[in-house]
Amino acid sequence: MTTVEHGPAVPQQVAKATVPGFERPLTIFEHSVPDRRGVRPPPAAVPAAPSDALPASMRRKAPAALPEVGELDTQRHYTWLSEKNFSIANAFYPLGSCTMKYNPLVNERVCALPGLSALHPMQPDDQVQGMLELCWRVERVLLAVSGLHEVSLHPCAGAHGELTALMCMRACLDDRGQTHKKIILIPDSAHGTNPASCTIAGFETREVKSNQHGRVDMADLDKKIGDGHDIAGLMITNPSTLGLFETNIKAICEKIHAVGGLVYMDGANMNAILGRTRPGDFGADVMHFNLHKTFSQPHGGGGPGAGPIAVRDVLAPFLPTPKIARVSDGQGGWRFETVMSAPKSIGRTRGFMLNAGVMVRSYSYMRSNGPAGLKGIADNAVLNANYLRAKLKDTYKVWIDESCMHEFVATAKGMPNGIRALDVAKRLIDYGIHPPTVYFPLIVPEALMIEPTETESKQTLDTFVAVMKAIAAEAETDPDTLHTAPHTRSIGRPDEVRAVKEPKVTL
Amino acid sequence: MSNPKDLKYTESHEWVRVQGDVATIGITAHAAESLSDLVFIDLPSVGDDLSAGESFGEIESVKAVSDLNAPVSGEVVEVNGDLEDNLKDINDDPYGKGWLVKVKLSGGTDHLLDAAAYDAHVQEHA
Amino acid sequence: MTYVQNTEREKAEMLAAIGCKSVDDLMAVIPEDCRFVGELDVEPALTEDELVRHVRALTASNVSADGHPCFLGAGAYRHFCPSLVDSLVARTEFWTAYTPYQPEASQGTLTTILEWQTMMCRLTGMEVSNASLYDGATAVVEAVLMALRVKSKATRVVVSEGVHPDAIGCLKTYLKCLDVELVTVPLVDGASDAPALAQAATDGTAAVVVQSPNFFGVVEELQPLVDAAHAHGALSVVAADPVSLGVLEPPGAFGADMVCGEATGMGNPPWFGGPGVGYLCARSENVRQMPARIAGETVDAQGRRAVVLTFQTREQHIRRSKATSNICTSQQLMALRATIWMALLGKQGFVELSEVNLARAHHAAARIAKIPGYGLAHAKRAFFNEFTVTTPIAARDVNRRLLDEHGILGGYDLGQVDPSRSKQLLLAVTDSNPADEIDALVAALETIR
Repeated sequence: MTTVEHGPAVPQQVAKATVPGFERPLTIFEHSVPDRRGVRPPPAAVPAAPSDALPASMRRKAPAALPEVGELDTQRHYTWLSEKNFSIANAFYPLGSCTMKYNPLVNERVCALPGLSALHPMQPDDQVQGMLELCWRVERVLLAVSGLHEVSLHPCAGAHGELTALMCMRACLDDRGQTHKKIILIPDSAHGTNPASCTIAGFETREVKSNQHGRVDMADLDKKIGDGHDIAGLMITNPSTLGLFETNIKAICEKIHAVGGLVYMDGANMNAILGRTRPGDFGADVMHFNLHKTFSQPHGGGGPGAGPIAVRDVLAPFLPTPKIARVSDGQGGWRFETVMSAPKSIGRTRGFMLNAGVMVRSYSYMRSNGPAGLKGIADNAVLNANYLRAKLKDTYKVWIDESCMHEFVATAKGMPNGIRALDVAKRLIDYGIHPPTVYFPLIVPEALMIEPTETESKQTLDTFVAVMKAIAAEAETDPDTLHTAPHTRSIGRPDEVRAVKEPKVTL
Repeated sequence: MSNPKDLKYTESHEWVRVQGDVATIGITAHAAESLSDLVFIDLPSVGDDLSAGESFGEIESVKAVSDLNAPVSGEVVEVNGDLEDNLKDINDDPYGKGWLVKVKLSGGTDHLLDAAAYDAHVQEHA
Repeated sequence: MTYVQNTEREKAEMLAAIGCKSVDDLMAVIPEDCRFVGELDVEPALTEDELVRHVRALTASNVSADGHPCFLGAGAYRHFCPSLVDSLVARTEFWTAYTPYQPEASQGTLTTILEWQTMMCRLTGMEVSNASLYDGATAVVEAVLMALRVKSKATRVVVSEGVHPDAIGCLKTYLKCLDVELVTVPLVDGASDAPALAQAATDGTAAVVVQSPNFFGVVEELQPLVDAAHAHGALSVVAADPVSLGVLEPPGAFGADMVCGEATGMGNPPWFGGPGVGYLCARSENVRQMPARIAGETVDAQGRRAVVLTFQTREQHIRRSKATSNICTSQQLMALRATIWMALLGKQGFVELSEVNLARAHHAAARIAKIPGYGLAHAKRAFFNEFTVTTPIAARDVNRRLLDEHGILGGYDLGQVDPSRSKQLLLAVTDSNPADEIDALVAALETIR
């Protein structure tokens, strides 16, 4: 093992010495002791339910084998587990396409205001006017930055937004009597969720090639559109997953519109263009937002998120219900209503109405920034990404070396001694830095997709550059250290083949 | 890389061994190597019809999945049942114990590549 | 206010390193005819203090269950939550981590997923679980889509009208896109109709979906319902409130093929309906058809126990258009809350909590049934912590008077889902409704005729 010379301390405090037989148990179940009690629920304080309240056939025969642990051991166990995680709070996290930025604590403070989390989804509108107004205000901001006409806050996540939008597109085309339009064109650099969402929405996909500049190949687009008869639309990520602005975007949208198709914009990278360009202005008919990426929302190790969609007027009648409407209260003010159904709506795509907890955090971020601050998100994300690109491009080949947006894609192809992107990624962990996204987009071999976000300081970026250069040097002089990295975590590279061949998905 | 001269190949990296009207089908050493650690294979059943150029199953490694494309048309007469527990055979012996299915040919094989043409195809896309 | 740290001097240094004069130069890659000029039409920035005051003022008009007895359920149930849940989940290492794509840097999150999967399987009597889904309604949809993959030639899905209307609504929306027929089967006295379900589920049916306790609070007799699905080879999908499984026999014991639902009530507040957390458990033979993330245990090169995301080839980032689901996001933070909540209650505590729900609901129901003009709509049926009450006047008027005159948030007005039930109120009584709240509700209803 080599000494780690760069970067902050590795955020982990796992004991290095143990006495055999007294190692810390891995899971809460191994802390369990028969009859040990943790937290006791409140007593019923009413007469017990009559013995025949449930027929014997319905009564549980044996209690579920949940752990039997005390409060202190539980606290220590989960605290110990938390220390095994990298997080944005303890490490630089340049995870391209996933946008890990600072999660302001004021968002949490606002969420904790009395009564918000206890609001019940089935309360009538007149009891939740404040919450409805807050969500309506979130919609206004999304309209302002998208240049589109109506918003649905329904979708639970980005991929759910894609699916909801595709369902709206389907309904719109059907409404026009164009049930034969079944093909969605998707560039080869797209997120995997795009084609997966198409399948669930009942569309077929046709892939469009990228050209050598990482943009949509216009000739291939023409070829794939053909006579356009069956073209339902296009799903395009702009800026693309290569971190590049799709310079022909207007022409692309026009080609799709010319054959009666609709343009869906995957708004995953909206954080790069806030206040600089609006999808509605360059031709998108519908887009989704990843609120956690563009407006900050802690990702919690994989969720929650929210994926609102914004649409052009032609798609508005098809948005899911329920939705929020602002109506005059008849006394010069406004009141907010939940509209439960609409004649052409696709209907429901989730339980209840929206991820309110996510909306409150995003609203907090929107209002913390204001108009100049929102533009500043894009400007500084783009500045930070280009700075990293400029500093690293002599050490790592940048796939498309031109001015990028919020992220850029380098490649580990051609590194010495068989070093792959995975090796670089794992070695970064030893330096206390979360790896970038690797092996995506699929069109770049050995891809390292790097996104610093607007909230990182120059010092952090400089440290990252130094570490990446140190790893490139190690690739020449000490490749074994890279091949076997990481060396500083509670585990080394896990055996993923075994995890599939001898699956153990419960304890 | 050299592939057996007596076999026929596809650009999607399947091989075919024709003996009378029965064709044995497998994936090439190149395909097996690029997929690396195989974990799952989904094969058709005896009696199923394969149609040249269309998918007849899937093969998976931990982080990749690949369609198996039928090099020829025909009815499946035998499936390599040993593979389920010995997927390593595909890596270790792709042209022998790692065969996938045998089909009774219902169409021609003229569209397939010979070993030299397949070698060149692999070289070109390396 | 802004969260950008770099100073103007640093920005100038960075621009110099890039070799351009301004950020405008970098943004010049956006074609001129696409550029947005001017200021975004959004409200001005607020300081931290202003922001807190603004949101407080904005939301002050909300009427919250924090300040009123609340008997609303209808799919979102409030339960006791130990203080330790909030404290542990507030650890930034949990809430500011991303999806555990790098196992060596995410053993904490991955281990909690494995714990969650184990707990959910033990509660439901099933063999495999995924890492969580968006919510209860979409969990039902995902179970059905999974059944359609297992029964790949099927073209029909049968659902009991006892399933939550939001879940049925979602099924309608999703299945329409896939040209799959959805058959809804009415209830008989509030309970699912096994013979009618069996009759509807003829050959070519992928799944028969029921919910227990169902939307109207009735605990279903599951065995005939599971058998009704299996009679012609369909899969049995059962939606269940996991909290009820402290006292109710788990659907897995009756042979259900998939058990799913909303797990939000375990350690999570209702949050106006989201973010929630859905769950999905199944039989191990169908694990390759499961949607979304699954964690599994393995070892590293030194034999140390490790947890990874497994069966990843099912997922969209690899299988793309052929993926088992388009889902990428799980509800990890909510599932973590539920995991710690289940651990803290533990084997005995979980049963006790479930019993408290049963006792309080039966106590309340018995007293309300004695009030002149009120009664139980499905008196012969078993229930857990929710039941349907018939009311002397429109349920919405009962609710209005409960709040206006007694400061009580009443139940769910069932007239909203079925006009013929406009004089029916769905009341949930949980461990979050102490005896004095039940007394207050009974006293209030006695005045509302």
